[in-house]
Amino acid sequence: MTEQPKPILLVEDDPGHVLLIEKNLRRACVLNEIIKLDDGGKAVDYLFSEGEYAFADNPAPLLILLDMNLPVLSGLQVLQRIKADERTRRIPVVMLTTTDSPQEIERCYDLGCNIYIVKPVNYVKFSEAIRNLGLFLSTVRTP
Amino acid sequence: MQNLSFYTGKMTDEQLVSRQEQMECVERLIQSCAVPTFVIDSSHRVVLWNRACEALTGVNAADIIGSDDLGKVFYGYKRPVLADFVIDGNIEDVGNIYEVHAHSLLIPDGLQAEMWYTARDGAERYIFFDAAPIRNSSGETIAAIETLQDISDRKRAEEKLQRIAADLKESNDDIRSFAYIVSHDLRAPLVNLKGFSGELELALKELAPLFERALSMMEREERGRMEELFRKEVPEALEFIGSSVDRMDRLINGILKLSRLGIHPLKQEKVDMKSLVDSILKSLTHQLEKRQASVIVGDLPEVVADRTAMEQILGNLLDNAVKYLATDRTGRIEIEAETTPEMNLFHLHDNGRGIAEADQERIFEIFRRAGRQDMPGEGLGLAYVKTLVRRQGGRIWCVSRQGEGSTFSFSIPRAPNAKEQSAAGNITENKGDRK
Repeated sequence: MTEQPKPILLVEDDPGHVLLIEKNLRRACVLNEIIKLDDGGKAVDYLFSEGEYAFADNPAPLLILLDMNLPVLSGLQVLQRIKADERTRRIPVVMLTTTDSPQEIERCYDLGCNIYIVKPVNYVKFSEAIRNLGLFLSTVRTP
Repeated sequence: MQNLSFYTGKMTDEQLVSRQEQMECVERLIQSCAVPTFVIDSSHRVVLWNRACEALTGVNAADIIGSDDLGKVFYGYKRPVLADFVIDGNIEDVGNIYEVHAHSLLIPDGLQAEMWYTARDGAERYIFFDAAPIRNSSGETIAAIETLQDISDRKRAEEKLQRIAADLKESNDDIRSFAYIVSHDLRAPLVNLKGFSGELELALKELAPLFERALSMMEREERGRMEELFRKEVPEALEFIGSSVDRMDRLINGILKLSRLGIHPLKQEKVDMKSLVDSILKSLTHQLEKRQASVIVGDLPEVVADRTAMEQILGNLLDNAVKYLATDRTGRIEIEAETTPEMNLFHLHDNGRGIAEADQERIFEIFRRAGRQDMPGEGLGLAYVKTLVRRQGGRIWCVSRQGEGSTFSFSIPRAPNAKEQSAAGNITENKGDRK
């Protein structure tokens, strides 16, 4: 297969978290390009070729890692857009958040998020979660 | 006095005199009454205006007796007063003039109303008006009596209470969302702190073989210092950062848990406290046996409360009681209940290590732990319990003697939900009744 592997879209406004997530994905041997956006508005623009991405032909991401608390549009608002649109609703979405509020988790699943990850302070667990995600991705990609 | 001329028909002179005396007596009675009172006859003319009425309105009896335009004297413009509605019998129209009004509960066809009234001296008063018909022996309305009670103080107090209740609710909501936002947002930097100290550890691991090689190339005295930095000081610093972050994380989770308590809706159901306590004790069997403690459970009532909350309240209190039993005597825990007209009271006595008097209030505060710090815990349990008790409209307190034991007591209202109804809600309801 010569086809370029699909990128991963990471929407996260905390630069530290972006770096940690990226490092752990790489450590887990995920080689896909990681597109990093730091607010919800940009994510919507990217996915639906609006705003500054109006004329861009962006490849549909393999996976979207979406933080809950984002500027401009919240993670939930972005999730809603993604799952309501025929073009994007099949892309798996992983919600990232700092809390494990049951109501919040419920809302996410109601809106159709595929996985909900609480960013753990425990580094080992965090790495494991991200790495499992990476392993899952490599399994998917391997024929 | 001649104004009181309700009585018609033929009478003998003596009858007239005696009737006259009776009338004067009634008049004096009304005159002496401390409640502002006036009477109008069937043609709306004022026939009686007592001294208390003069004092309240600033209008002298001499200036108003005989007038059929009471509204104008009262308010400065032509309008009916409550007694006029009683005379005309059109009590259904009262609402056009008085926003807050009701039929009298005591007197048939009597009316009640209340409103702000500006007296001639400019003073604003909130008046409770009460008007009732006076009928002759054949049942015709020949006059109406009206009393005016100045309830401004009560009204102002009510309004103040309403405002305070609203303010309180607002600041409670603020605190709740504040705690939630704070704990939510505080965790984000912690993820970085922990994550990057982990990255540093990984970097050190990777560095280790390089470091060994570099060490061999160093001078002896340099090497000592380098080894200390690399093997001791840096890992030590990372460990402190790590354990502090973990602790901070536990504290933030504690705040988050408490703030969520306020959002979680309570479910009222019948809870058999006896079986609830028994099942908690079953889960504590191991600890109780280890401490060789005995538990005496008295007669416990059925309450109407949130089951999960009650489980957590008693679970925490019993867990504490067992945890802090004294080591030098056989542990003894007793649970009993007491019922007052409004509350179910529960008391948990133990003969444990007790709490110093100065600490007895503070132990219910979040993160506060009293006495010897030899047991694991974050200082959340009792803060959690207090919030749960208070949300159900109850109270919790502790009486203790250091070295002898403690009694934790809490109350749960017998009429559930008393607390959930705000004071503001109650006032509005009363007002509604009067309408």
